[in-house]
Amino acid sequence: MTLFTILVLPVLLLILGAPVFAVIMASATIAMIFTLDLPITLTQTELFGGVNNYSLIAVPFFIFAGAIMTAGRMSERLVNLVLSMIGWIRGGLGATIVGAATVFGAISGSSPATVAAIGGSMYPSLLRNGYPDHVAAGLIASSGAIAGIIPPSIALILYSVAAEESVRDLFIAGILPGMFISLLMATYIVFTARRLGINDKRKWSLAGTSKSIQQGSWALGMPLIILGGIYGGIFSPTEAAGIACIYAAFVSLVVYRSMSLRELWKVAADSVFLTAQVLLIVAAASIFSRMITILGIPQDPVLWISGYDLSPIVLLLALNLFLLAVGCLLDPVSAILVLAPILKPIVIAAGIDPVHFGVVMTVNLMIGMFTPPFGLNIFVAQGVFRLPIRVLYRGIMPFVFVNVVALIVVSFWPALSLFLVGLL
Amino acid sequence: MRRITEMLILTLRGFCAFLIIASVGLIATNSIGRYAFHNSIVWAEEVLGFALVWMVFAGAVLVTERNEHLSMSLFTENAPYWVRQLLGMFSDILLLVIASFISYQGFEAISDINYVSQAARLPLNFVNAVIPLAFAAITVILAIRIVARFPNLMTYKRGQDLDASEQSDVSESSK
Repeated sequence: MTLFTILVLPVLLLILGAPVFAVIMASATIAMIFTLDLPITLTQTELFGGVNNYSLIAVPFFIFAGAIMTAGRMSERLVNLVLSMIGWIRGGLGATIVGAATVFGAISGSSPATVAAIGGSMYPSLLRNGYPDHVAAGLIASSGAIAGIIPPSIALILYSVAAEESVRDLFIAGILPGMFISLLMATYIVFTARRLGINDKRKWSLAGTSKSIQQGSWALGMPLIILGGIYGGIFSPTEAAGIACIYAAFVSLVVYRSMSLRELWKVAADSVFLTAQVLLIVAAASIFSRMITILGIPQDPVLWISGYDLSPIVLLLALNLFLLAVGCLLDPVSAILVLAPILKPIVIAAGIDPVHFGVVMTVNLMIGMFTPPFGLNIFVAQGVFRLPIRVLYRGIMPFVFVNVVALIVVSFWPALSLFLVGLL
Repeated sequence: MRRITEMLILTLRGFCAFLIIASVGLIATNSIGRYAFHNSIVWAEEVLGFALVWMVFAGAVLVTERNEHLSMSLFTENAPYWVRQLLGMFSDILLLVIASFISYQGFEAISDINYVSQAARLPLNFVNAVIPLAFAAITVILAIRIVARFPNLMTYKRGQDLDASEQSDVSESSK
């Protein structure tokens, strides 16, 4: 009965296309009433408590800040800024996408938002400069995933809540792996551009770069405020997210005058909409998490896996394969909330640092965001670029490979994640 | 009826926008106050948590109204039109059962809460009421949608697939 309620029923309902929130709620409620005989009013307490969490307040704020920046066209200025700096390299336009996604990711924390923000403005430019449509679309769809790893990352905030780890440590741990993935992808696209004979070199000029810096400097102030504020000990991540909203609104409304108050109001309502989509699953997952804890389910896999006496390397390899498969099927929010409480005791028992594992888990699930056939970014890119899905699949596969190489390095070189945590 | 629904949804959107903007204002005031005046608002953290709860569950009504709950629709999106309609109906019924359950138990639970929050002294039954209220609204939205789905299923004819019917089928666009 327990196996059916916790595993078979949710998988079946997910395949039938039921909302993730409803699937988790159905499974948890059945377990609560029929298996555990708990009072039904526990649902209210858990739904309320699952969301009433100070760390989670950062989620709507970062979504709001990213949405203001997109609507206020600050992302375009960031792209121009990066382009003016590295556009003189052959393949520099492609590398600009990766660079801009990294900077934008340091603001919005949302992978699909980054694809929509960067893709809309850069895709036509890539085509004009000779990039084949599948390469251009594949590059943009996969670059968006960097936003999920570079802090502030919504995925890392959710992992911190689900696994009860420090958001600050997780953010710090995400910096070097995120930059490493960016570097690897930029290198790949530069070599690909050369292999395809694309000549997108732009003439570098001091005047042009100065102008781009001047135009984009306010936008660049955003990651400085967020990351400098958090790591300088001035703000908590939640406060930094709130200050980021004020800053983005000030720059868009007053400095650039690229947004009206009416638009700000609309963006605010849209941000709450996106927040509700994500955090409703958090609320349901909190009941689910309580049920599986009462049922003793996290302990079972720990005992089972401990019996095999796996080395950390073999365990990480197995978990990577499992998480890559999960990431291809399930969105990162649901996967993190359901799996982090189960996997954390397993990795701790094997001697793996839970902060390092948080980064590994996020990288896995972010790869899933653009892995065919089901990655969410593929469908966002399909909506933005109006391309047949098979063209997108063809363009994305090399980037999946590059990211898997990065994942192997991130997984088996814990210092890449943990070096800065010890330092800052 | 449609006008009233649109007005209610618009009001709810406005309320959600107000909640997030007010929350940003509160957290900024608190941070600035701490550094500039060495004084922070003691109830800020508590109220921000409550505001988040209200945002999520009030927002859930909007998400349900637009039928954009996150779901794994990828196995079903290539299915024939009538299969998608049936599965859509199934999802709506499942959500309706869950929403009515949450609403019912929520009203039961808040009737027993008769104390106030520690810092802001807000009545906790009022703060908690957003959950049963939101799910009551969700139940109504789903009941209306389920009734509206019937004609689509009843009038379906073999060969009448995809294009025209798909365009009107906004409900299947959820991710």
